[in-house]
Amino acid sequence: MDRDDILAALRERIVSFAALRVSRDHAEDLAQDVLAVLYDKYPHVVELIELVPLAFQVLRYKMLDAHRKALRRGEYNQESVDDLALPASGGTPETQLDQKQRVERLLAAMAQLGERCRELFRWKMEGKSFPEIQALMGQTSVNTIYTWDLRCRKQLLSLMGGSWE
Amino acid sequence: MAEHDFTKLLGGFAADTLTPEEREMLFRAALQDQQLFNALADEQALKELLTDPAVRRRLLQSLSRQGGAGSSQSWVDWFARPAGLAWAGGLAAGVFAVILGLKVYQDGLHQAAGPAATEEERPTTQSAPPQAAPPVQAPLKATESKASTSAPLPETAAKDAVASDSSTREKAAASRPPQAPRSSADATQKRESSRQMESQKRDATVGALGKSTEQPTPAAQTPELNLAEEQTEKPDLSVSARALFLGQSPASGIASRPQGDDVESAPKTERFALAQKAPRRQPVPKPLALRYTFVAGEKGESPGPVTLTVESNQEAYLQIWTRAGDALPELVLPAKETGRISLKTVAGQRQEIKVSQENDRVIVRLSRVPFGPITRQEAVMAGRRAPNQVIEPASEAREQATYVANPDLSSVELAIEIPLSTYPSR
Repeated sequence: MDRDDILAALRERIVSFAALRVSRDHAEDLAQDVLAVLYDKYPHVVELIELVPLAFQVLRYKMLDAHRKALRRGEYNQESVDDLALPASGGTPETQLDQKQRVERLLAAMAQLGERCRELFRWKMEGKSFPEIQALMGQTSVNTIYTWDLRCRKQLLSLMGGSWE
Repeated sequence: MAEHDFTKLLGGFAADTLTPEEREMLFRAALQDQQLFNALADEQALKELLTDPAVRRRLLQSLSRQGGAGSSQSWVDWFARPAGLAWAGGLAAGVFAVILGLKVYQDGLHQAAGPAATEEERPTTQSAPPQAAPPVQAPLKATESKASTSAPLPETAAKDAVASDSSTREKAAASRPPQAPRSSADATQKRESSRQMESQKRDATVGALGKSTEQPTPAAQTPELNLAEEQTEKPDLSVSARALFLGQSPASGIASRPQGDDVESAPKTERFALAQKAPRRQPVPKPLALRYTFVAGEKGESPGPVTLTVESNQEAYLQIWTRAGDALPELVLPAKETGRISLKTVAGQRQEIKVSQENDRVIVRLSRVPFGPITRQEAVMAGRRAPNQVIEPASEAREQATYVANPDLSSVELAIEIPLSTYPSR
C-alpha cells in the first residue's frame, strides 16, 4: 500500500470512528483536519507502521481540540466567555489533574490484578515484546501470551470503569 | 493470524511493545476492520499515558512493590475462593479427626495397660516377701522363743494369713488408679518410698516397742531392718487366739495391759522415749478378741436350753443373734425389751444368755464402736468371719472355752457364726 491508499483508508475509518462520538458533519470535518495535518506537516511519513499510529495520535488531539472548542463556545453549558480561563501554552492544570487522576486510577486498577497480569504488565512497561515475554514467562506459544494479555487488558479496563480516559 | 486474533495485539500497541511484523499486521488489519480501528483509537489514550516516562516509572515501581506482597495476597485470594475454603475446611477436619483418633487410641492403651500393670505388679508384690522374709522371720522367732504364752500356730492358719495378706495387697494395688503404676519398676519404687515414709513415721512406735522388750536398737538401721520392723507391726498371725485374748500384742508378742492403763503404767524411761519420739501418739490398741463357752441344760430336758457365755478382752460392744434353719436371725442380746442394739461390755465381764436348741446356730458380733441398725438379712452376712480371724477351739486339756481373735489391729469388728450342733451337752 502506498501513502495515498493508506490515507484514503484512514479517512474512511476516521469518519466512521468520529461519527460514533460527534455528528456526521463534525466527523467529516475532523477527518479532514487529521488528513490535512498528515499531508502538510508529515509528508515524509510514508510507512504504514508509522503513518497509522501518527493518524491515531493526530485524531485524538483533534477530537480533544473539538471538545475544548465546544466547551469554549458554550455548546455544553452556556457560560460567559469572560468567566472562562485563558488556555495556557503548555499543559493546563485541568489536563495535568486529569492525567494525574488517570494515573492514580490506573495504579489502583493494576493493584487489583492477579499476579500473572501484573507480571505481564511489568514486562510490557519494561518494553519487552510478546515473544520476549513468552520466553520470560516460560510459555511455548506466543498465542498464550496474547490471550493472557487480552484478558488482563479487559480486566484492567473493567477495573478502570470501562474507559482509559 | 486470523482476523479476530488481531485484537490480541492491542495490548502491545498501547505499551508500544509490538514487533515491526506485529505492528504492520495490526495496522493493516485496522485499515480493513472498523472495529479494530476503533479499538486502536480508544487505546490511544492509554498509549499516550504509557508513553510518559514518569508514568511508566511509577507503574513499574508499583508493580515491583506488589510483586513481593503478591504471594500473600494470592494466598488470601486462594482462601477466598470456595475451592480454597473447601480444601482448608477438609484439611482442618482431617487434622482434627487424626488428633481425636490418637487421643482415643491412647486412652484405649491406658485402659488396656491398667490391668496389665496391675497384673505385672502382682509377681513383684509376691516376690517381695522372700527378700524381706529373712529379717521378718528372725524377730518373729525371737519373740516366739521369749513369749511363754505363745502357742504353736497351725501351718494352715499361717498360710491363710499369708494368703490374706497378699490378697489385701493385691486389692490395694487393684484399687489404685490405673495411671499410677506405669510399670512394675515404677510401682516397686513408689512402694519402697512409701514404705520408707511409713517406717519413718512408725519409727517411734517401733523404737518404743524395741525398748520395752529391752532389745537395743542399732544406731544405724538398714532399710531392710526398718522393713522388718514394719513387717512385725502388721498382724502377727503366729500368735494364737488365746494369747491375743489374754493380751499378747500381735506386733511383738509382749503382753499389753488394758487400754486405759497403758500410758499410766508405762515405765518412766519408756514414757520418756515415747515423749521424745512420738509425744502425742495414741496408745497401741489391743487386737479384738472374745472367749465363749457353752453349757448345756440339764439332762432330761428335751431340747434343753444352752447357756452361752461370752467375754471380751476389752471394752467393746456386743451383739448376739440366733438363727434356726433358713429363718432370719433374731437378736437376743441385747434383749428386745432394752430397745438397744449394742450391749457395752468391758474386759473380763461375762455375758450369759440362754439359747434354745431349736436354734441351730448363734452369731456373735463384737465391735470397738457401737453397732448401727442393720436388717435381719444383713445380719446373715454380718455373721461371716473375717479372713484373717483366728479361732482357737476348746481344748480338753486346758478349758472348755473357745477363743476368737482378729490380730488385725485396724479391724473394728469381730464376728463368728457358731453352729450349735458342734457343742453337745456336757
